[in-house]
Amino acid sequence: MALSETKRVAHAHSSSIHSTAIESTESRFMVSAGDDFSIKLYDLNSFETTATCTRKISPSASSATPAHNRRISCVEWYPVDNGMFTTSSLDHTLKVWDSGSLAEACVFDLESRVFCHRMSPTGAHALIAVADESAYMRLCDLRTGSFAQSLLAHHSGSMAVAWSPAQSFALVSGGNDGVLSLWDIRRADSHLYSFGCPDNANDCSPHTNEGPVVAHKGSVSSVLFAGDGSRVASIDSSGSLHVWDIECPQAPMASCQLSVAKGCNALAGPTQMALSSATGGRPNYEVLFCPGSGRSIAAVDMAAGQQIASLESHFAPTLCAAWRPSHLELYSSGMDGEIHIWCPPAAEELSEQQRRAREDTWSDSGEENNSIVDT
Amino acid sequence: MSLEALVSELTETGLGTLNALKLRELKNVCKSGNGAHVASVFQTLLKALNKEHAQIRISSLQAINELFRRSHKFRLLAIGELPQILALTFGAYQKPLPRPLSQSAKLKVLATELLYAWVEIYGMAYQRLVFAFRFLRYLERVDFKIAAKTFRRRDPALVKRLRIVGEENKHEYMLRSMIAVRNDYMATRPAIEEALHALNACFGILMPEVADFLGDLCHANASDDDADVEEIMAVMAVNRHAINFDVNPNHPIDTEENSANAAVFDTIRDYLRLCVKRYQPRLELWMTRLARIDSGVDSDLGGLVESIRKLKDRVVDMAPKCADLGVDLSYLSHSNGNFSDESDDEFEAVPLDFHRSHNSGRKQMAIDSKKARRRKAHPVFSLLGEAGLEADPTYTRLGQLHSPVSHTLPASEFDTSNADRHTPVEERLLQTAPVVAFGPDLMYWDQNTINANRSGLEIRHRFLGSAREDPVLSGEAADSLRQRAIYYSDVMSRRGGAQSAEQQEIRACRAPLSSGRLCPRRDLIKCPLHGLVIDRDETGRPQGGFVEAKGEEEEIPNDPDPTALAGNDVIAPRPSTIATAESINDLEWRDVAALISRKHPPPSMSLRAQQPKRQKKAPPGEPSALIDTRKQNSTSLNRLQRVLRKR
Repeated sequence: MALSETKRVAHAHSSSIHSTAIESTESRFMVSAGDDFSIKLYDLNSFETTATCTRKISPSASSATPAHNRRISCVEWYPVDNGMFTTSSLDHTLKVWDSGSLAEACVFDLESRVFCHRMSPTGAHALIAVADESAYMRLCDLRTGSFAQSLLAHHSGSMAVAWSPAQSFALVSGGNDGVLSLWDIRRADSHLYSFGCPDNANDCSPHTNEGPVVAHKGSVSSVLFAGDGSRVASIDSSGSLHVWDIECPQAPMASCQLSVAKGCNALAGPTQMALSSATGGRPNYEVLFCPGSGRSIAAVDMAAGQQIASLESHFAPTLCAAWRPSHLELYSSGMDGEIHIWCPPAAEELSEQQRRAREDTWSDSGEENNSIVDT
Repeated sequence: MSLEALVSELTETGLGTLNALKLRELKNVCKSGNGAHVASVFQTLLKALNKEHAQIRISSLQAINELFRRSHKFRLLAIGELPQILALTFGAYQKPLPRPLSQSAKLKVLATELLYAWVEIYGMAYQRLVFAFRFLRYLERVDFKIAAKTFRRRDPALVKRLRIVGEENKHEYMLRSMIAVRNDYMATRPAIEEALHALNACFGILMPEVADFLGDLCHANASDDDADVEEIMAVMAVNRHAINFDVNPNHPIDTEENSANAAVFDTIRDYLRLCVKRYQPRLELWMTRLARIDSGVDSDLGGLVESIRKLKDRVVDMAPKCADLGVDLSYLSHSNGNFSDESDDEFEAVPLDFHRSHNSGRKQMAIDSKKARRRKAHPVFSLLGEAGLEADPTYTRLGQLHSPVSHTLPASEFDTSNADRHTPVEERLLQTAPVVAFGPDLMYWDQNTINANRSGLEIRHRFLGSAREDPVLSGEAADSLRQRAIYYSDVMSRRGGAQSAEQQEIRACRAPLSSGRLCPRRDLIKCPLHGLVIDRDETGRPQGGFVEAKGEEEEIPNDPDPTALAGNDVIAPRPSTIATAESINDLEWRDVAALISRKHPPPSMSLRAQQPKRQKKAPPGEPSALIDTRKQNSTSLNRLQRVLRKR
């Protein structure tokens, strides 16, 4: 994957982008939102051609007034169709928007800062699982407009949530205490089990009293289900990635430590990973794109659990990635407020101008671009 | 030569430009092996860029730039490491740039220029450059304006083209401006002409033209060229009584505003207001606008300017003419809403007031000041001009305050009365007699019985009884009155030659202060803030001629002045204890201290220090121009700290 030379997204946000989402039905529209409190809607198929023969995608619409009062932490499309999307923000609200008119349809007021929310990709029900700062993870019902359930999830709050694509009742949540839990919302005691091994760090309990089962040392920043729902990937703020098999939660199936560039502090907020679907010809080959504080996006092979590549293009910590299956493109963004497009280099065709600029020029004759500066 | 050595030689010269030969060698290395060595070259250059010296970074950045513009592979490598390069050259991500400080500023400027050029030339083909540019511009807030300007100016043909375009635009703008003014002028001209015509007509009504009086006479004279002089004389002789003009030099135009003329005066006022308030400013505006246009823009410009100027002169002339006629111009300065017709009507009733309104404000004030007889009172000395004050003994005139010496009243009386009684002997003695300023001791010199001052005493006391009548000062008290204390007797004036304290004027320091004033402190010798009190001019700059203090101190004992030293204790010079000491304990430190100086240690201890320091051999070839970053700049703070540390 290489940075696309022929396409780019216009610089629309004035501050960092915390969440982008591409709708799953047509893979045509993208929503991005972040620190500047506004929501921008892009049509990825329509672009204008600039003077340098690159195609520029500008936001086709953006929310008129500030969409939220605080940073928008998560954006998600309605899984069934692209007429609606939801945003949640640190101003304690979750809003449902109509994508045609970019108007608010519904507002849920939760009393704590919301970090993440997800809807079930199966579309069987209209429950939104909300991960916020409180110990309870609430399920909001879109059909009734009120809260359906509360799960006592994590004491210090949770930052990541994912629904299983295979079963409409199973959901995984990752908390600030490093615990990754699987839930079944049909049952009364919903908590099925937690992934991971017991945390034996404290030596003052030498007996069989085991500490809480912990998946990560730090807080879980993102959780993602693999394609068929049998695997879960979770990443925490220090960059350690674990891939779990649902059947055996004791130990991760594969794990890898993503390199963090030296000198960068670990991000302590929620991030969003993206999963590439079956990439041409290799059905089980799934690549996970993990943004991190190291200004790069790590591409990890889910099956082997190894980092394949590091996509470097950002100049500030990356926060979210979105995959576009139809064109096999990755849209990454971060704290610099820019959305970078990644695509396989074979799919690109450089213009004449661009090709000329990429040539070697070894002529020693005097060039007008002589830049030896006399100080 | 190895790659590292080549790169280090290239980058560590400390000069502002790269050595062309070495650069070419580097390029050859890159070209060779079909691009296999590009990666290693890049890594070496990157290591050089990482060095903690601004000049080395400048040179390595220049080398990177050279290769960047040549090789595609190099470009890809550089773009892959862009965050690091930006951190090292721009100071991005809060990484401070290395010393020396002046060079690090140059490094940043160079990096700005180069990156801008890269983005302009290669940005379309390498997207990450554009992202880097945006990052620097919006997040790190780097200013690219100067770099943009330099980039645009690099091509002389482009510069010429831009200049030509600029000039064309300017020409276009000036032409448009002229056309706008002309249209405005054409549109308003009839109105102005109408106003002027109306005003002239009113003038004609009020004040018939002189030509009308002569009338036939003028015509006759003009048409008959051949007429005899005698004929003309005959005609003139007939009209012997001629025509009398009563021309009052003070009021050449004798018109009064009355009920008959009211309409005419109203019209005059209206049109005058129009002229002054509306037309005159507009005409001036057009003139200034046309003045800004160069003469070569259009051929009509000169004619347009002339016609506008003529019109403006005519309009400007109107106001004084109306004033001469007796129109009160004060209504013009009132706000537009107020019509001053009512006030004019008021004046009409009393002709005297009306005439006074002729004068402008300034004349009025002059008349008032002339009428005022009383001189303006002094704000502080209210009795200044009063008569009969000289006789009052408590009264001191202003001039007397500055010269306290001249208590001339009693002395002058004596002098004038005894002037002719001086014998020649006395006169000769008087010439050489020392002059002592008059003081209270001289006043009581010859009085034996001095009355004490009883003003504050209670004469009659309940228990102690009453004081004696006429208390007289005792002998001791009277003697002390006849003494005079001399202060500053041992002070020598720095100007050479001592003066007595009373004669010596205590000078002001007059050093320039930061508030703009001169330092007002007075002292004979020195000011506590500015050192010695020296001669200064009005701006506080020291005038030449003040002598070094040391030199003065040496001179004074050679020049004894009896008047100053009179009554002084001359301190006898103390012999140095080094000469008179019998043992070491008798030595005084102050005599020995000068000999024991830290700069010149006793010879026994300085053998090693006197050996010259072995210098490190400079490497052959050009001496390095690298600024030594370990050497600290000598600022005054550093020097003081060094002295303190040594102690």
